[in-house]
Amino acid sequence: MSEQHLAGKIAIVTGASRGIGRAIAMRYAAEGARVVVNYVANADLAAEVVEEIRQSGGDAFAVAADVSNRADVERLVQATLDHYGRVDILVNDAGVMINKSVLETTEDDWDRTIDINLKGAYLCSKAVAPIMMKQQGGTIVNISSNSGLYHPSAMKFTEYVVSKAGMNGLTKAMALAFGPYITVNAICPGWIRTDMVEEIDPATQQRILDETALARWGTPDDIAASAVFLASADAAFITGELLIVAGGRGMH
Amino acid sequence: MEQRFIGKVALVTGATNGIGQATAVRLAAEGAIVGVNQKPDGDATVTLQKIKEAGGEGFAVIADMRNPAQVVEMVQEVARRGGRLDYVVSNAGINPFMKWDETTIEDWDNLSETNLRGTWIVTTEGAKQMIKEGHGGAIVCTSSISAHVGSPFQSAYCATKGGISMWAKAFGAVVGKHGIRVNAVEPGWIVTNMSIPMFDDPPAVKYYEERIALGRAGQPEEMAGAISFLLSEDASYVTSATLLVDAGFIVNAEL
Repeated sequence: MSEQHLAGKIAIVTGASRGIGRAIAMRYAAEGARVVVNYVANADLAAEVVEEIRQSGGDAFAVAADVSNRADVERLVQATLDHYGRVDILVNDAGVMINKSVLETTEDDWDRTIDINLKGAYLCSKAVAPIMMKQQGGTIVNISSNSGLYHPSAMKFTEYVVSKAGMNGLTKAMALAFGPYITVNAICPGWIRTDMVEEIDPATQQRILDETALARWGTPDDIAASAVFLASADAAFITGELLIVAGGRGMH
Repeated sequence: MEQRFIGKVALVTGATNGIGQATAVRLAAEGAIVGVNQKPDGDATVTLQKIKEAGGEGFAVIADMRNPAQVVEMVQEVARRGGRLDYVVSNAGINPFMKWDETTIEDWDNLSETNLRGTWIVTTEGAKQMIKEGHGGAIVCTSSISAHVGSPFQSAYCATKGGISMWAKAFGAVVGKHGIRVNAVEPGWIVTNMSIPMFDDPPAVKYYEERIALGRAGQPEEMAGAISFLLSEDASYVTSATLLVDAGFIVNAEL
């Protein structure tokens, strides 16, 4: 990497033990950021992420916290301050998708999805915003989904779609509330090859690829690259925006 | 400056000032050879000078975006002189203020031929050249927040920008299989020749500052940063997308 875009920055990445969150944590560290690797259950995987970052010469540590629990979130942010003294970047990545029709899901499924995906982003953002305002600088990147915009195949996952549509609204509303020192944007990934995709039936998988202009799955690294851009100086004039990273899916 | 575009060749239209100039300079500073488009009566000297100062390489190419033959020839010329063509930044545009009920056929044709038809020709010719050369590429069209919100005295302009954003999305869907990505940037209130008259209008300045989440106008270099991201490998899964670069104006626009 010829230039580190996030040198000296302190970043919290929620849901960073695997998938997109993991890729963002790794890439942020490679870009010079010191990273707080949040996880809720996978302590071993989170420890692996931290270890990989350290072996590459980076700096990171892991914090267990349920983003849907306010006390946990406060502890996560306090641990960041205790360890690094500030917080420049928050990536709200922690999320779940219930792979069932709304006809089959339960009220608990709804609560769990909305609590983690939407309330989690709300709580984490609210917790870091006063700190970033005092610092007179900071940026929040929400990992949303293009299913919150228009996507039929992802629309099958009702609770997930609702949570991501809510996250898109939250992104815009917080951009207004947190300006001028904090920028708030969302990335709306299309289908990214993660554990979530593996659970989808083969016929649907093929249809998704056929409907994607670049005819390939996205990778967690694709999303990480956009997450670097949105946190970098090159995106200083961007706030309240939804960046679609979907390989051209949705234009057919 | 990092060097993401070494060995690449770019064409930037409307590159004699503003966003086009800043983009041409940024791409050249990052290693691309840049064809700097000017109108027949334009002057690319300043842009070429800035490219030189940045340690980059560029050359002027002349075409009026309203003239299809000139645009086609320009694309060929850039590929010939640069040795290949990897990127097209379709940026040339005009924004004459006029009342909707006084807009003439000539006004409309001038606007749409420059902004929309010009974008269509230069991006399709660019993509054909990339396909002929047998490699992928990336295209960015400069659209505007005007693709989303209307504005008095700019209704026809808004229509061209809405067309440009949709063109980027639709075109990206058909050239993706050739490894060509197409996206649009939608600038908000940027300090350029096009927007300078607005800075002499205190009520307009107040309107913008109060509504923009970041409370300020943007610089052409900030647009160049967004455009260069969309051209770069970091955006390799970004296509048929539009990217607002407006500091949070649209989310608070009052119309």
